[in-house]
Amino acid sequence: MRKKITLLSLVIVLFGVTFISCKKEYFDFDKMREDQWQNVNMQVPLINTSLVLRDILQDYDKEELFEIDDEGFLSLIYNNTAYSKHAEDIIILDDVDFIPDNLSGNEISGNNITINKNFNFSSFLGAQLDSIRYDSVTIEVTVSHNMTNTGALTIQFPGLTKNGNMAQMLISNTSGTTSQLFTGYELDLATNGPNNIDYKYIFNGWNGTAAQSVNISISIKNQNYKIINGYIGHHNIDLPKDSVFIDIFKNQFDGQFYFEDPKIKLTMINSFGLPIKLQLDTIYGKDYDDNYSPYYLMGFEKNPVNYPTIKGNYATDEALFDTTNAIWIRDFITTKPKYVFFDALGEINPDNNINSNNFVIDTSLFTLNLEFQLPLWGRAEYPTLRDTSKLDMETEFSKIDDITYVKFRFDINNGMATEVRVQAYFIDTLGVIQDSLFTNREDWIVIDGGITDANGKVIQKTRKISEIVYDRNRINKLKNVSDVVYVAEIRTDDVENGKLVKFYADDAIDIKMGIHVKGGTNFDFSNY
Amino acid sequence: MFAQQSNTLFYMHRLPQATLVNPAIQPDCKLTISGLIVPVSGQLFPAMHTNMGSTGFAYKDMVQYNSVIDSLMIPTSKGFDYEHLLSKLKNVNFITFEEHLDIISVGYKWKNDWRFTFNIASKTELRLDFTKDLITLISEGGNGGSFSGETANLSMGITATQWHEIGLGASKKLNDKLTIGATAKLLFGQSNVWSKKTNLDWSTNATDYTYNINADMEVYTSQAFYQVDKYYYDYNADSMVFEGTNLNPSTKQVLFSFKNPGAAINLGAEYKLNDKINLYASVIDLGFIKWNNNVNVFTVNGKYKFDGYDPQPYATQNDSVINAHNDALVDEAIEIFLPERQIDSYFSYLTPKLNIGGTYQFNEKINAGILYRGDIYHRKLHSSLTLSGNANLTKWFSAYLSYSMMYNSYTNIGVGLVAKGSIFQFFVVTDNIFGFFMPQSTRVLNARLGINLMFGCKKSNSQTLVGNSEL
Repeated sequence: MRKKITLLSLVIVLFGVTFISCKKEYFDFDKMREDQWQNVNMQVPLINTSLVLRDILQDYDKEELFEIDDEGFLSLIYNNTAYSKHAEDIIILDDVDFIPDNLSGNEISGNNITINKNFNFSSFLGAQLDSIRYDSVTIEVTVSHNMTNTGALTIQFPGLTKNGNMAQMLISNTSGTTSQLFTGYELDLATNGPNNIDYKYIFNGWNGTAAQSVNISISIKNQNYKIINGYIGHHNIDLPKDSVFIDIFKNQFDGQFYFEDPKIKLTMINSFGLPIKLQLDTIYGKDYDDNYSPYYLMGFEKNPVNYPTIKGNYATDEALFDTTNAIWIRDFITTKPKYVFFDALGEINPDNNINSNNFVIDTSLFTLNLEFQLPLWGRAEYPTLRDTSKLDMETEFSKIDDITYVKFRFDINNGMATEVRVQAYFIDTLGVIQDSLFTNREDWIVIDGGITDANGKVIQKTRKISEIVYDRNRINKLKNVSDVVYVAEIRTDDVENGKLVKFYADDAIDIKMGIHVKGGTNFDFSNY
Repeated sequence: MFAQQSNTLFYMHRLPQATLVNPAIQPDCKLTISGLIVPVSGQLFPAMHTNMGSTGFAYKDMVQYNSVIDSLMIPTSKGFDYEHLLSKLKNVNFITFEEHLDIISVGYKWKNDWRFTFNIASKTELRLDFTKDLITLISEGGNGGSFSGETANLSMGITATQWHEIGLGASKKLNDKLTIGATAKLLFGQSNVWSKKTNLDWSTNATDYTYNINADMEVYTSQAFYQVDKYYYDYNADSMVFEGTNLNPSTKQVLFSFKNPGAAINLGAEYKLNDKINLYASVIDLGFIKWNNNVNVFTVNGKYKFDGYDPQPYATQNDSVINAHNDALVDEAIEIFLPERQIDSYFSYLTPKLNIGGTYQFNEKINAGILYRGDIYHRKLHSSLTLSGNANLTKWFSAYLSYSMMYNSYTNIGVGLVAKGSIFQFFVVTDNIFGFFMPQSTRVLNARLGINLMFGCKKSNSQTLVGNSEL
């Protein structure tokens, strides 16, 4: 028995030693691989967003571009100031030179010799001013003479007063020019008749003969007014061609669209206290390819534009162009203008009625705003929305060293009344297309528009699930990609038959995008 | 199939340690003594039990050898065969470690039909559980590409307990057929980490890859080393931060803490059906510990859905808008998964073990045994089955050979050897002898060894296995 046990023990030991000898490689840690690798089999919900139309069309700093009515119906509103002029740009008081006075020597000899004069003051043709309150005004006097003896000369302007005191100038330089600045004075042009200004010379100590004389020239310069009262006269206003920038068509390059009820609203804001006639003859545009549209005849005239009767107030006036009074408006919108121009003419006191009691203050402003109103009611066929975003594939995919495939899954619910076709182009830094999401046009992701009711309002969303797989070869093509250009074509429901659809504020495209990446990457686990 | 203690030990009735798995067993010696504090023998071969097991994988499944490139590969190595590893895993897998050390164990037989025992032991048990889905997730970079349209069970739990126990037992032969026994134990918990609830599942929508994560987790801790003062989510480091105080307990405070009391009982019976067949049954470790010292209970309960980023805030290119959006995303997740904390005392429970078996006597020296064993935890019965041949070959030497199905492994050959000289009884037993020769392939490796001092043993020459035997 003892021999048997000994033999059994030996067998067990040999058996064990044999096994350990055969499997020692499992414990030879010098053979441990030092690389660090992480397999990747990721499914990640990457994007989940719900885009309403204002998200798609508007820039984020221009929320005022949309208007929503009580039913949620959307209108695109683009406005800009077409024209804006201050009083100093329209009513300019030119320098006034009085008719020089030539006085004989014996006429002014003696003391306290007073000579009254009068000048019919008018800065404008046909103006009959009552008064001008100045911010500042300069009076310049030039004296020349051949008198034997000169004395003192004072010039007084009884109509130019400040706090009841008339303006006067003591001319010390009797053989030259003297200037004096008057601030806060008001010039009375009405007491002695329209546009009439009285002034007087007072000579003291002058001595001369009839053969001798004094020549005096007076100029009123740098008339910075605060208020002008009276009839200012008839004038044309220089309205240079200006443009209004609108960006609804910024991303739109191709295709056709039709707005059923476009409108253009003019708003005139006027704080000039006088009649102004505004005339808009033509309108035209320039698109994003710098092509000009035809000229469209507006034929608009407003005479007069509303104006305030109380100084400091302003009056507004509006004119609306729509399909009922502007047959050109749909055609014009179809030209997809980037800039809108118009030919305009303005007139002050167009009826030349001298009984008009005008006023102008230095802050008076005339503004013309041009507003495009595009109710989103119509149809569209393949207008293309494009946008570009950075996509540094070299950086992104260098994180994954060995990609088997990348799968993109889209789950899109379209609640808008348009079919949407989506494509993306991957371009390098030179703009050269390296690859596209789809090779053939028929492969583009097509999401049918939501189901609409008889009024063109979406009542049910349409769902589309798509999957795009990029294998290793296609991914290699993307290594030099720097940007991706997204292209979306839209097409409204039943556009062939002219069906009109409406867009509401809550119409949305719900987009979910998931990404499934399979591969592996070098990974430094010591960092974790 | 799963088990913890050595199953081969169950029919090694010459050993006083057999009472640890069935308190009805009565070795014939009048007095038996063993343990760490027994002079000389206690230190040379302390009576201890060590067990390591894995239901899911063996060493070679995790540390793979590629003969083509003559290299070892671990899961972070390129080319590691995850498919092989995953093929070995069950839906839920366990890794266990046990260390039982007998400080002192005394048995005393009185009037032929009574036997009393007293023992003090220190025990450490650790059990980690994890799911196959969790390993799959890790293997794929943590994003569940394989779970499209499915729900992944990512539960992971831990139960780790260190405690001391003082046991007082008695067994009695009620008649010629039936012997019963019981051991009452006072328990003194030292440290515990217990994940009572570990429910964490993750589903990925097959269409849009939306994540849905549900969590219902409870973790209980009691230990003497570190006190959590506060915890919070660190946005900059993107991680949870626990701040606290190192308690720096002394060895005495760690080993002799009585702040966490508990109690347990072992029950056993032996029934002699006839001259050939004996039946055995026992229930071990029915008990609990109440944890009072430095208790923390962390609970997480919530649902989280992530269905993608909204790009519109990013399109603004406004840093404040983008940061606010990102913070809101993080806050949403943190709000759900930030643990809530309680500091109430709690009860944890030992792992009850059920043993049912029987032996068939071929002759005076040899019998064959069968043992079913079930461990109850996670509200499930984890079973193992052992067949054994038990032989008292001489009056001083016994040998035992077993075959066990355990840890989802079916190649476990166990061996037990008992040898006696003078008052010294040396023993060694394992359920998987191959584990020592082929550690790379084994899932279970356990051993119990020690030296018992035996006094007052019968002087007969009997080598029978029928009934209790002396050696």
